[in-house]
Amino acid sequence: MIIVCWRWVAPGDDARWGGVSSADSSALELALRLRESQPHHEPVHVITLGPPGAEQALRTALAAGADAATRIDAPVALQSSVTAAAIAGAIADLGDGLIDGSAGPTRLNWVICGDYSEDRGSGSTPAFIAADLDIAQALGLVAVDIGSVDGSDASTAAMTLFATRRLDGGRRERLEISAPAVISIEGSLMRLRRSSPMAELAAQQTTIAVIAGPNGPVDTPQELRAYRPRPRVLAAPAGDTTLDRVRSITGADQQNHHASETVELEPAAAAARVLEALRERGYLD
Amino acid sequence: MADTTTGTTPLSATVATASAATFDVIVVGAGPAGSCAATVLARAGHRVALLERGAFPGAKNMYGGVIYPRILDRLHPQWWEQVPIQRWITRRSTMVMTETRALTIDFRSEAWGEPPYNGATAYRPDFDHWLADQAVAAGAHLLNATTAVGLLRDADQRIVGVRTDRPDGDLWASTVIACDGVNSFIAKEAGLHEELDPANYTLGVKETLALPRSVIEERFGVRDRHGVDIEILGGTSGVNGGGFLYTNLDTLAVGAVLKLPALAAQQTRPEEIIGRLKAHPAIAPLVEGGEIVEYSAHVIPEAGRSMMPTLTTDRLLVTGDAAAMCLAAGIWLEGVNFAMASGMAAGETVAEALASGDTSARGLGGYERRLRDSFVLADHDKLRRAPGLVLSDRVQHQYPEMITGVVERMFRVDNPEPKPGLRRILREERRAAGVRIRDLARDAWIGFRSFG
Ligand SMILES: Cc1cc2nc3c(=O)[nH]c(=O)nc-3n(C[C@H](O)[C@H](O)[C@H](O)COP(=O)(O)OP(=O)(O)OC[C@H]3O[C@@H](n4cnc5c(N)ncnc54)[C@H](O)[C@@H]3O)c2cc1C
Repeated sequence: MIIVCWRWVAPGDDARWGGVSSADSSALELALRLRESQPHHEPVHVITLGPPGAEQALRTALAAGADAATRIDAPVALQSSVTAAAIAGAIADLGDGLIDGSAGPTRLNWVICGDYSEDRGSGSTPAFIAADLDIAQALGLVAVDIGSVDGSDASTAAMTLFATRRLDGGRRERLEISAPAVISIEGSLMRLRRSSPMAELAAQQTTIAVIAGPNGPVDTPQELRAYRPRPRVLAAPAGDTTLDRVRSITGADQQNHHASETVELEPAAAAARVLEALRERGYLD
Repeated sequence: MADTTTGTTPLSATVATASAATFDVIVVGAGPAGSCAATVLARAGHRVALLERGAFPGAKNMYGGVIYPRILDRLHPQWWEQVPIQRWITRRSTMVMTETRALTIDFRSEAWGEPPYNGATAYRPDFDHWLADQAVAAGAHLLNATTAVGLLRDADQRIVGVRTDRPDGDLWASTVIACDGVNSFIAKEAGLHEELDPANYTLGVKETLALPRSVIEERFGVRDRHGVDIEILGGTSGVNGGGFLYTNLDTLAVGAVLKLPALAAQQTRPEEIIGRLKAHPAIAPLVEGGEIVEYSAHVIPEAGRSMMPTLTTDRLLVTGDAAAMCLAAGIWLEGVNFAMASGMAAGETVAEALASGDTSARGLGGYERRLRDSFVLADHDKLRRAPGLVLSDRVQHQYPEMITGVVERMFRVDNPEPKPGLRRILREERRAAGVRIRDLARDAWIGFRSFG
């Protein structure tokens, strides 16, 4: 089974303008393509959390080809860890043994999320879902090699997926991901197919499962302020000529102390090195 | 099948065999006309598809802001208990202005603030959405985000459905109702519109300004959900047209309707014209401090009866703005009520034609008869010459000068000079504005015939 998680957002709480991000749309398209790349029919189930107005988005998903949809009745503004727990609970409730694969042919392979939501959250919900389900995660994927899915027999084959993940500084990371795993993908990856009019009309008649979700706690909206770095007192630059002073300010001809470094360390030592570097550069007091 | 991967769908398609119709009727466009047509047909038990290119009905639609919904009495009795309005219009002003002067005729009626009401300001995403909901409740199949891109015809060139921009998007039906608004693509494709003449169109532009509810009520002298409608002649920076200012609950709609060739000739940007209107001494205190929350523009079929296309052909009817039924005659700017009435008439006619099994032009003949028996064509016939008159150079430029000049002289105290007589003022102001008696008499006659 492939689960797609959609974060439905309605600006101004007006459901008419509600929708999901292009990353979320992209997640459903990936699920549908993964399903189509296999000889057997692997069900795609879309889950969203929100008020009844969110069902319109789920109907779009059904019209595009999702097999089933669930709405968790809860406020959209829940904290992402709470949202994730509700979604993980809903997934677990879809069937005994779904996650550990002991249920036979329908086992959970992928939970696919968008990398960002319409309201630009932190993108942390997928990570929380993975933690709650205790399965692997690969977040922020910019490319997925669909042809790489090895799923000739869903009940036995270990499903793997090759994907590219965005790292800081324009770097990329190639990953081999084994199911079950939570992945999140960027909106540029693919565009959700449009459905036929008749599929859309059929989807309008489909029943959407609704389960009760938690009522809180909700994310308290943070006050938005312009970014202002902490002030630092700088001594006047040394030098007799303008050029000297510019050199001294820019450090143009000095050795760069903050050059990046590449280290290969055990996780604990790597974390310690990161902290040390942050402290050296004055980011941590 | 449409090539959905590249989006290069042929505009019109001939299909060899008319496959079984998916629907009895396809209504293109879920504006006021389309939703009323679909409601009537669905209630009559027909399978109706209502296609809307916007994300939901009304999502993309704009207009000035006042609806006259009495025509809904028949379709939705007690509509006022449900229809999502902003304010009931209880004050109606007509303002004639020059750069420095303004004459306002201000009328107020408390009766317009009680059922069955008269007019109301409403937002189109609210109103159109509500109206389409009624069609869906009646059983119509609403397809949002679906654009009709062509008519389907069988080997005998009979219309058998509509092609949409979606994959597997061909929809079949024995009748199509074009409710797709101004510049109707469907009516054009069916060959019902003659050559388009830009002189028949005006450009409507509008700013929505946010102000606190209490400020609006104080400035405009209204309470509760009562509101004001101001129509303005002469406030459009010399471009032939008209201005308007309407009150919503906590926004104002201020805008202008501008004759296209005049606008092009003058090389002025429409937003500049709104800007100058807002700066006019008669308007500035009303709109001051309003924050622009929206700017929108839309074309209006202005020429009324003289630009209407053929309304009926085999298996196709044209309604509302698609048929240029908007009444834009100066002190009146009404299109939504005309659209709703023509949509209802189309729905009733098609229901009748389906029952008798004849949806040819002859079978659909009842449409034009219904329109003629109602205000739709009656008003248009009567006001046939009004748009031309109202948009003429004299009414636009010379008469405002003359009228406000007369009133200024009437109320000006020129002591030690004695008061001049009205006759003298009229003569002098007419000459000063360059108005010839012959033209004045002719315009008065046309005006009397139209509005009288
Ligand atoms: C600036 C301005 C001010 C106005 N002020 C007023 C006023 O105060 N009061 C008043 O009564 N009238 C006013 N009008 C006129 C009024 O807006 C129109 O007459 C009225 O909306 C016409 O209704 P309709 O249903 O015929 O068309 P529309 O309201 O234009 O509806 C057409 C619908 O069809 C859809 N559509 C179009 N093409 C397709 C397609 N190919 N496939 C699928 N769907 C399609 C559109 O998205 C739209 O929803 C004003 C107009 C303008 C521009």
